[in-house]
Amino acid sequence: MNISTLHPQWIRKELRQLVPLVLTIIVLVLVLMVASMLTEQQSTISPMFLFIAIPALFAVGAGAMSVSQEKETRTLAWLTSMPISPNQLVWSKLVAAIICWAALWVLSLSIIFILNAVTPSLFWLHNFNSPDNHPIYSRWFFYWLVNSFYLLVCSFATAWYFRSTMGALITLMILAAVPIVLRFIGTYIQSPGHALNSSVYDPKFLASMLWLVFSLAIVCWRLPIISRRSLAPVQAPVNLNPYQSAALDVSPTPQTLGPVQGQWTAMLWQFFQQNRTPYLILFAIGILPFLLATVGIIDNTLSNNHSSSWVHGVFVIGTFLATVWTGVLVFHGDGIHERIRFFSDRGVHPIKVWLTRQAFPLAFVCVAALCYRVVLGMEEKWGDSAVSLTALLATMVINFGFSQWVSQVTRNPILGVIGAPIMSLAAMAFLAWAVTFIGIPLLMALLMLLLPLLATLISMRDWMDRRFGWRYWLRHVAFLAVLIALPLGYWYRVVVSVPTMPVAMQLEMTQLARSLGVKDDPDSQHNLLPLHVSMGWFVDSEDLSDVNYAPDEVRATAESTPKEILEGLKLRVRVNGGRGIDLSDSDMLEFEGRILLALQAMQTDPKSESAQQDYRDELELLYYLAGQLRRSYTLICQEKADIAEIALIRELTRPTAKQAIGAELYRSIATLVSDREARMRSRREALAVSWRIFDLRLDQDRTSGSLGGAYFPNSRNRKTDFGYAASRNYNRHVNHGAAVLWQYLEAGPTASREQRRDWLARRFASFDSDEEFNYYQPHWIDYPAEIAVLYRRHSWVGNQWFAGWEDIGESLRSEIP
Amino acid sequence: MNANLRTVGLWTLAIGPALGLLLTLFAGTWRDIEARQRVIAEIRARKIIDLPPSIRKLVEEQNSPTISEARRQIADLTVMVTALLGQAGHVNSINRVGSSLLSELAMVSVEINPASDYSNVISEAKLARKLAKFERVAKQAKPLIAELNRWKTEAPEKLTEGLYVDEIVTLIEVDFVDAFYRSDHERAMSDIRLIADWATKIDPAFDYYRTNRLTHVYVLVADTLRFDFWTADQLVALVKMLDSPIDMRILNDRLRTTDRRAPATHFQQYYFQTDTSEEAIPYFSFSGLMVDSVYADDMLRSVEDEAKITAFDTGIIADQAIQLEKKQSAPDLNRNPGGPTFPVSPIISRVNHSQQLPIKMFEAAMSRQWYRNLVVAMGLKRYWLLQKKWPTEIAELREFGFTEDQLKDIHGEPMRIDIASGAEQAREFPISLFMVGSEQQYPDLRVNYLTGGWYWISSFRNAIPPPIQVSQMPLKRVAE
Repeated sequence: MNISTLHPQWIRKELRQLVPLVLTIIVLVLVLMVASMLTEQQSTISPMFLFIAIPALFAVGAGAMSVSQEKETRTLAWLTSMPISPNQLVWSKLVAAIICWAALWVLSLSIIFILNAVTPSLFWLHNFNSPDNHPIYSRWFFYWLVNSFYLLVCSFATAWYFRSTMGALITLMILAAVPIVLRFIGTYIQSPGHALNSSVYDPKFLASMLWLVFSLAIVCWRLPIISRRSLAPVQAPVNLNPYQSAALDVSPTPQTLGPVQGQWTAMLWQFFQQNRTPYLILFAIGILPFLLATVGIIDNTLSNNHSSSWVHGVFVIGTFLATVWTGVLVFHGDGIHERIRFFSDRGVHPIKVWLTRQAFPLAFVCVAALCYRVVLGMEEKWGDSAVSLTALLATMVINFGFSQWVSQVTRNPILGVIGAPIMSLAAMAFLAWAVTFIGIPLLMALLMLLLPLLATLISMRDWMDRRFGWRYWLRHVAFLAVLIALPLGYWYRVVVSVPTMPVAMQLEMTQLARSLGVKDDPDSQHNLLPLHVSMGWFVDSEDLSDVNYAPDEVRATAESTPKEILEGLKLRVRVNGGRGIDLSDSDMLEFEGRILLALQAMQTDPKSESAQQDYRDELELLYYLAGQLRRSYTLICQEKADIAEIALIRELTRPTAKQAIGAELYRSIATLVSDREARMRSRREALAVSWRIFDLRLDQDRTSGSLGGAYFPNSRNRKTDFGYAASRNYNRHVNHGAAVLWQYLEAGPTASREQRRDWLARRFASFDSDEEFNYYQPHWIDYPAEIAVLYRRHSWVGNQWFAGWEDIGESLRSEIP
Repeated sequence: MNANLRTVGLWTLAIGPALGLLLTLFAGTWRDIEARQRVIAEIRARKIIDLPPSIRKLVEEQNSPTISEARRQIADLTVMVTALLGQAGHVNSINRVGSSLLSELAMVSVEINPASDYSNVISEAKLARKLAKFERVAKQAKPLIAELNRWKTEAPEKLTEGLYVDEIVTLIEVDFVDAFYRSDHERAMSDIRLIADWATKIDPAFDYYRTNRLTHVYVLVADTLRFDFWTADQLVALVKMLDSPIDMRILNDRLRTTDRRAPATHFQQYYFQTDTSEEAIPYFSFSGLMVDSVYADDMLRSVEDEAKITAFDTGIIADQAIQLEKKQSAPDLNRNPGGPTFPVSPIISRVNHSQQLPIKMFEAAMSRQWYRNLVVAMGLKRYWLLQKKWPTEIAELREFGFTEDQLKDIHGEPMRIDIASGAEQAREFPISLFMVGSEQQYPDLRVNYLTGGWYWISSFRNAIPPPIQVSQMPLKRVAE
């Protein structure tokens, strides 16, 4: 056959015929890619590799689109009556498909490289499991290229061979696996006796390529013969008995052999007979991997190898495809040559038709689910990775439901066969996203699961009558919209049900924050944030580079005197330009301990001047820290300032404090700890600024400690709500907490102890149990001497506000010399 | 074939599988409901297991609104300890400050190969600065250590006040290193006793690493055996001091009790509305379906299996623990051939408390093994001190009162000594003591645990006793 003799018009005609397939595949791949990105799985495989699937998917559908469709619509016979040789017809179809296939490869690779160049972080290509197997940057690229060409040739061979599209497509799946099976057998013959999941059977490039080219050569050799035979004139059957009518020459069924059956039974028989062949093939697709998996698991058990085998993967894919195509078959057979009109013209009720179409496919799904469970039960360890029967059934029903929906909507078997697996995967991703990220309730998940079945049931009458007007489409779109809206609606409901801050209060706090210098740009608040001081800064670490901690001029060591540390701190605060200081909890403890140590040294040697001076210096250091912590607009620093002040009050209330501390320092400290108003003002300002900065932040930056470093436990409905919705409502939850604290600042000083306890309980929206309520109760430090015991209990923001220590602090005002 | 029969076959094919699946689901649900009842009953039963009195008292005290003077004082004491450790350069228990410093001292004290330049590895000046810092801290720690001694005898139950025992032990260790370096034998002995006492004051219900801490003391003493430090009498006193500091049977019982409670307490939140009330109403919601009760039931039962481990001070414990661990890592836990009907909550399966008891027991057994090794190592040392030569074989230690049993490991295998060549002549050369079987006995365990995650590696690597090195190295005084 000379290719140059092909008429360009024929090629153009064939190309036009392939356009819907190309467009559908591109759209479906995009949907799948978005779905895979939505689930945000930490996959090592880039979503970009889905684009490589485009030419392969096209190859799968090209033969069916080009040849099978013409057979089903009976236009092939008409074409053969045209002045064109069968050879030209065959070749023009194949050449058009090859042109499309090549163009799609160019397009896919271009998209991959362009997207990767524009946003490499989102569309990455690197970091593949092992670089040697990279589908683009390794020699395996040629394998994928040749493999997709092999699929293309196979799809034409099966399309020419089979009369029905489904038969062609399903056989194609088996042919697609032939090179892999041949490679496996070849390896087995070469070195027998290995376990099925032995690394001996890992794909090796040369062997894989060899078997692929071998299979390709065989199919290329057979293709012209098959196609010519298909186009040859049909021979009339030679009938030895001229009186036997053709109508009687059908395979015997109960309808022809026995008494007339009831309508239900008759319709079941009709469905069974109509889809017998494809079911048999699908059953083979389902059962073969099942047997393989069983053998594989026994093999693994015998060889004491508990790693999951590749056979399991084959089983998963086999069962998935079989279930999906079973779904497609629900409406496929009735659509061929408008067979369904037979029922519709006779007024058979749509529900009856729908139910009789579902029975066998659903039975198949049930068997598949049970087999699947048995295989998993044989292989896996029962842990959180165990797939439960209910989850398994749900997955199968998703595959089944969505594929039959696709098949009813598209009506084109080719698009159905190719589109259904992709749509099922997308649906699974969407449902998984809804369950895990949005955290939808189980009932809603169940409804979403059954929605596709409902959609096909409701649309059944129009489908039977072949009325595909705008109402038909609108109904399907409405179902799709409901499917998408359900989880989103739930999310909205969950979020809005969490109490938040009144708008008036938001305005008030924003105004105060603005007056204190908070800008509307979340990234320009540096001058409002405190200087973070770590005690690592004081470590005389010879192994670490101290430069990491502080500039040379203020570096202190573990032996540094409190005076030296104080000088260093003051210098850092001046240089920093921020507001106040922040210390870690353990560092706070250490400063508190330093005072106790100094006190102990002083008590051990009361006459020692240096011990007395050390004690004063330590106090002065803590006094400075308390002041700086209080100056900070970070809410958590206000809590630490409380602790520092409590430690100071404890020292001031010791019997010989005045004498030990000295009048001047005593006066300064007493002034600080007795100034209730200044403390209140600082808290108020810190709350407003912290809240405003939290409010300005992007959602993803609002981590659990971002309200001025204060942690807000999210206890609300923790048993039932999980996932994304729960984390999203965190913003409202924190807003509510800030609002309660804001009000508490006003009401707290005059409130009774019980009222105060209630105020503080309301910080965290709600509690599941009394125990949880008790857990979040404040441990008020009423007596400063108890600080070391109580400070270690859970310290939630606001815990020490208006506790007994404040009164003791205020009473020290009268003691000021 | 009869048409009616074919019709029956048709209908069976059409609805049979769905019915089968429904039946399976029904059976699974039934099985789950039954298991659920068992779990609820079991949780109720385990809830009433009495806590050991000391723990109950502690819990009550921690929750009480009034704070006793003793608690206040101990809390202040721990705050001071924290501050002092800060001044010692922020050393903590993870640093194993004593052992690491003794290793550094050993490296500068011995010159195995004069050609090798140790100044690259250990800077003497740096070491001297560190020791000087420890000296200052030890001086300041004096009153604190007196306090720690006082609390140890005055109110022993108070010492379980929790979280800061690590810091306390570390501070005593700093003091010990200083005493060791200054050859203050009395203080060193007293510090060892104090560390051992504090380590044993931690209640197993609160601290899973208790035995690790005890092992820590053994390691510290073992590290000193490289140096010419202890006298023969002191070694005898040390053996007595460290002998059976924990009643292993009581420890074992307590571990078992707390371990039985742990999963039951954890499961409560799924089965009861509240965590506190004994008479709580079982909790059921759709989210309750996220719990596979058969699995939960199995978890509770597997802890019962663990509780059957009764032997302790013998090799059986380690073997039993290993067997149990192996069993749990294999899919034997799955007693349900059909697999779970409902999804297993990841939260439940992740808290696999049942694996902790073998680990803790194994660690306790290994701690015991450490002690046995240490006693033999100290025997070797005494042999040298009294005979001025090393024994050529371990059996010679019998002259020093060692019984045959003492010269065996917990599996009953005889220990052996491995004398470095030339050790008889050059006394600086270390003589090494190896325990037979410590490497070969648990090959599976190591492989198993290496793949099992970081937790297993850290705990088991420390638990398997390495050989103890014994020698008479003179301690080198380092200078800045």
